[in-house]
Amino acid sequence: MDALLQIEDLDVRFGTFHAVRGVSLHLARGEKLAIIGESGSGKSVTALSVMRLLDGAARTAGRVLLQGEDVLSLSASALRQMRGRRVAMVFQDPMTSLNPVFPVGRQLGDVLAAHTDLPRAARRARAVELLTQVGIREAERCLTLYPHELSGGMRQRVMIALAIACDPALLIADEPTTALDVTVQEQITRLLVDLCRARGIGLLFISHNLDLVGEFADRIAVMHEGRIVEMGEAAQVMGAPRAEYTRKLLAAIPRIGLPGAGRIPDTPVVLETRAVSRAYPRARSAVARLWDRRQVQALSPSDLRVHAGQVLGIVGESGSGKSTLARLLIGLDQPTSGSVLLQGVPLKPRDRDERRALSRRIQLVFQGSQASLNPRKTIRRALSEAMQALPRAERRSPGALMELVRLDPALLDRYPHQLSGGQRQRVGIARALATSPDILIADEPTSALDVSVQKEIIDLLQALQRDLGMTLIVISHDLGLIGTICDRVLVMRAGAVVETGEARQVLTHPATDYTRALLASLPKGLAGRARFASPA
Amino acid sequence: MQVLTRLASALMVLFVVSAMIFALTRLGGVSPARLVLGADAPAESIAAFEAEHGLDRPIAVQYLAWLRALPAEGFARSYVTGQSVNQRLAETLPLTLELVTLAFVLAVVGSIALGSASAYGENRWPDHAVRILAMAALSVPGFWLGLLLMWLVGVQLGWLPPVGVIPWARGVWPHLSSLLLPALAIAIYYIGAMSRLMRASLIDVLGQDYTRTGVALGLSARTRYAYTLRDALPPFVSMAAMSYGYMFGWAVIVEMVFNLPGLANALLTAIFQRDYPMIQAIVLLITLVFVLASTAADLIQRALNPRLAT
Repeated sequence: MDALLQIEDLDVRFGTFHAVRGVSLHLARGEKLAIIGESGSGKSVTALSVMRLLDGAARTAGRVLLQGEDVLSLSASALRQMRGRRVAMVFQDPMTSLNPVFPVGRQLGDVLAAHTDLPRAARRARAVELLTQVGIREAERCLTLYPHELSGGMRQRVMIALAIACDPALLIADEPTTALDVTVQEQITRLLVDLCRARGIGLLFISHNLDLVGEFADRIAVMHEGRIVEMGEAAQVMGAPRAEYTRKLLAAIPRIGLPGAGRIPDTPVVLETRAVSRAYPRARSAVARLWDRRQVQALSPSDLRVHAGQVLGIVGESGSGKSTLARLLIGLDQPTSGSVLLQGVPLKPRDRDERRALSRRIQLVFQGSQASLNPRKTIRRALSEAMQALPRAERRSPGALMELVRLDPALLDRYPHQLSGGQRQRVGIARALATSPDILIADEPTSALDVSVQKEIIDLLQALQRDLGMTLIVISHDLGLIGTICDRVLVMRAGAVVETGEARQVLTHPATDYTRALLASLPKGLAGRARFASPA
Repeated sequence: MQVLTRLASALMVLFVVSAMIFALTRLGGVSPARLVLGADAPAESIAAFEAEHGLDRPIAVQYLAWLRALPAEGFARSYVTGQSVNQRLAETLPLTLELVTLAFVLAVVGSIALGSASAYGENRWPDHAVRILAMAALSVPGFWLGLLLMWLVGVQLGWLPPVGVIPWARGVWPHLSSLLLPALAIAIYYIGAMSRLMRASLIDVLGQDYTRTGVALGLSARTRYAYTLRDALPPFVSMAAMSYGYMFGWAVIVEMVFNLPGLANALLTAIFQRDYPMIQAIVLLITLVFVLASTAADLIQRALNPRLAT
């Protein structure tokens, strides 16, 4: 076998943390190998050690052979020539991995200058060629743009152009689509697979998403706690997994199940919006607003109605206006026009007494439980403070709240950083439940979590909704999540509601092209292999 | 458009500050007439003096008159010496500007060099060495450092002239070398302060994902340093601009120590004599330098950071 990359018994430690424990794998020329794992599994550390990009604290043992040469023993200058030339990497977040202060053309030109003797004009021509190859239409114009002027998908295309600029034999992609919208995710994956196929580049694809890699990978390695627990042909790993852990991962993927029989109940409407909209001034400073009166329409006039005890899903990609809508629903923001009605009474979020009363009716669970819990307060304090709006007699003990979200009350005296991501998100839910609200709004409740933890949180939300008879509004970009628990769905795009209806109806017989496209771009695991079988 | 807004606001600041300076210099309570004519001068001559110089009018009227005269005639004459303030400034300002500018260049170059050494050797000996140097620079008063430099480099080693200034007429190097010691005495404090900021800013950029991208793409160390420095500059530029203004304050002391015929001498004399026109002129000039420096810093920031320039 023509091994392009051969990792033998790789071992990486950071102090006492044993990140990678004896990993061995090989990758042939032109092969597509995916490494799957949850956070802390060692998948990214493995990828970074191929490039020797780990920081100085890492202690590495074993061998990493690239085209027969041990990367771990290369000199600094040999290493520099290897990076970008023989092996290149595409990172997760294209916003932070591109230099913000140089235009795209300069960044491409500098990479070409580092590895080739091309004169300036030729470098420019090559840059245009590369941008065209990664599917950027106005390549010439793109050269002069800065990363912040590009969309997320465009940025990742530029990052890919940088990576393939010097024809590497191996491309490492570390969660290259995780920070992107679903529809863009499909395009970027497609681009990577097609480029590697056309140029015979070996692809090492790191991801947490089994359904995504199941569509194109030749082989899949599943990592858990620093070890490869299973490695084999994609069809075998996905279709007939041998390891217990792989089975657990596969079972945890939120797939569109067919949710509740659309209990469109005869219960009254609890929350509704009437042509509610929100626009922001474009100019940042007050002075500039004097002559720049242009507005950015974050939300066009939208109507929605939620019945008591219903689960409504609001789904949309970034910039769709779903978070703006959530802020209006909970009274954190004032609509520019229209109104939000809670049990038929318009919200007046500016009124302080009403705000206080409102906090007992509607609560919000935030996306990042790490950022939304005060790091300097214990869980006990965070939960007690959440009950301050209640009269003393109605306050529950923090321990009771913990039990409600199936957490051990012994954790009450810990600080947020001493909890796992899943535990923190449960605390976030407990805090929202502290005032026994009638309505709970969960904004991307699972997006920061590992797949297996996502499942636990989804199950918890579902159980709480059923037991407490709450009205639940789930906002997410993840159709899998929405399709698992919602009775009704609202699809948003570019600040407007494009489709609304019973979840079963919308997800199986979508009425609009956008919803169809959204459903089509969902990764489908082995079932989706056909579309990657040949170049687009 | 943004540039115009920025310039307009700089001009506004200058107006407001000039009015404040004007009012504040007149709040001293003692009429300059008394200082010029003596404590036991008769009331009539005091009144005559005040009438002659317009000091008996309301402050607002005095201010407007002063402002109106500014573009055409420049600053008025000194009450005390009768000498033209314009001329006095023309004699003293260039030297102080040279001194401060030289100090500024030393501070910028020195702090970028030391800050980089510190950031790239984070928590190793270069970092510790620079940290100690910076602490020393920040805690030692500039005039004492000036005396020390004068004694060591000027007198003991005899490398540079210890005091006074050699005119341009005798050559560029002799002139600059005579300013080098006082400039260093001013700059050292700022090298200490600015190198700490440079270090923090560089370390921040070095920890960014895009720095790792540069490594992963195999860019040369030189290109990567250029990238990193460029990204780390914006906070440094603001601080450097402010420092340029502050250095005028230091220059007052250092010019006295090194016996340089700059603005310091003119300002101190004017303060002791309550020479309003002179004080106003000098303070306004220093304000002008501040405003120009911070405007320049803003414009440079805009050029450095494409995300601000939209």
